[in-house]
Amino acid sequence: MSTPDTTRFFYSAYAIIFVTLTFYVISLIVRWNNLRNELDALNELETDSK
Amino acid sequence: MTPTPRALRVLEIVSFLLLCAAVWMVFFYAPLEAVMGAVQKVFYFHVANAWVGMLGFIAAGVSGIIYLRTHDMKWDIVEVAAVEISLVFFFIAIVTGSIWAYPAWNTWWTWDPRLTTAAILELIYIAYMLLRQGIEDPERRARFGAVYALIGGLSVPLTFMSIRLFRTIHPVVVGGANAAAQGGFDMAPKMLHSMFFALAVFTVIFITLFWHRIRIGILAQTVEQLKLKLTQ
Amino acid sequence: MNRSATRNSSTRAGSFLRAVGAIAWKDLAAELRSRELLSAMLVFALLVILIFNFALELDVKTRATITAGVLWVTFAFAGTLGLNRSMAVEKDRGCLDGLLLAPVDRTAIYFGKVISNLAFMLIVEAIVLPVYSILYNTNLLSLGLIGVILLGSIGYVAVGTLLSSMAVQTRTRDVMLPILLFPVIVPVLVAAVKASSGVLQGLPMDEILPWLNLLVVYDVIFIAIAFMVFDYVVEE
Repeated sequence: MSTPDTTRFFYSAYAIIFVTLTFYVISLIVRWNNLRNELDALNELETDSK
Repeated sequence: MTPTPRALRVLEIVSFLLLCAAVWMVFFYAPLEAVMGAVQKVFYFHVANAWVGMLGFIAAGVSGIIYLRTHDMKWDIVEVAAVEISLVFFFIAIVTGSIWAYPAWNTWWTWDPRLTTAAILELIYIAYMLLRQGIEDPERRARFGAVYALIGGLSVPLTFMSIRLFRTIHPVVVGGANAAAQGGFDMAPKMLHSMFFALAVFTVIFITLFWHRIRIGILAQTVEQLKLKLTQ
Repeated sequence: MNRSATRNSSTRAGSFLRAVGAIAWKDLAAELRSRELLSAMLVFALLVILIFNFALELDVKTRATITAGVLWVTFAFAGTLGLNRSMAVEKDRGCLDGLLLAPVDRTAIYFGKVISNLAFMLIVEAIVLPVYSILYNTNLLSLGLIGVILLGSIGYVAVGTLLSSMAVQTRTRDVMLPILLFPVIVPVLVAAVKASSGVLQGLPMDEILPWLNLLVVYDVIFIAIAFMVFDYVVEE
């Protein structure tokens, strides 16, 4: 019995692993930057109103 | 907000390098399995992601309990981070499990106890996120989140046991589903090495992402508090 | 000092039980008068069974294996209706706030609601069983089945009451309860369906026992948890 060629499943699984992890890391970066900008804007607002 | 601590920066680099090493191991070091072929190698990262998902699951339950006892908001931040990361890792585990199932047992889904419980856990996590989204008051949000994390956390082991009991009394003959699903096939030493290395690598990745997500939570809390202060 | 301490603890238990009874009775008496909740639950349950008739084409042979599943899906959906309405009424009429101001142990409120919710669910189930028996010409009126339904309903209502107390305080309210409840109630559904099916097919007791054990374990664990956690759900 020869070993079946299941490489395309192998590659698609690993592709999904990396795509998902990449998306998640990017979402973390984006959320961090958005929050930083929001914090800076709010701090400016606070010093302006004082 | 404090800049990224050096330890975290180091962890990031280490995580990335370890991940590269793990990928190399899977592609080149681990032997090709005779019965299933290349797709068997999905197993290494599949198990690692499920393991890390479990870590997150336990972290979420524990932080929930600690929050309820101490009412200290930082545990709420830890809990949300744990749930979110566990959500991502279990998602990867479920999808890779499904992709592995098709060439191995000719079905996209096997309804085996672990896969099914993981899917139910994802639904619990999504319910958790929806619950939090529907509550404005941060303190109530934290309390309800902790309670649901606790209830969800306790129900999951019972769910697993009920499905496993379901399967032993009514064994479903899906090819060789039972043996491999329990991870009971013989593993060559190189396979064992690859699996354990993957487990270690993903644990490090988990810590890195967890730390980052907690930092985001702290920053979000600061922003929310500042907003409340300025709109009063 | 010792004497008043023991007297205090027994009167506290007494007043706890009285509070539980009062809260349960309040709901039951109100429902006896208006019968809104029960009629809604009942009509809904019967409609679900009707839909199943067309959806599943239950011929005599498959019916035996499917009956348990159809029954429990019906109970789960109708139960959600009851839990939602019961808690929503409480919140909308301000009864919940009133109860919270009263000098009663918060968990008495929980147990009172559980008892009234359980009563409503059992009443609906008690009507659905004979109706199903008539519609499908099978005999569902067996003591074993009633026992399983009781155990399953207890678990369902115990968790459901706790979660509906949370759901009713969110923005999305009614929609939130099934989303929160169903993933967490899976052990009850699996065990109840298997146990019911076993009873209906006349399987030997040692095949049904593991499922009954699971139900009991679930009920005990979650009633205990709800007891410890309910305070956090209703504190202001």
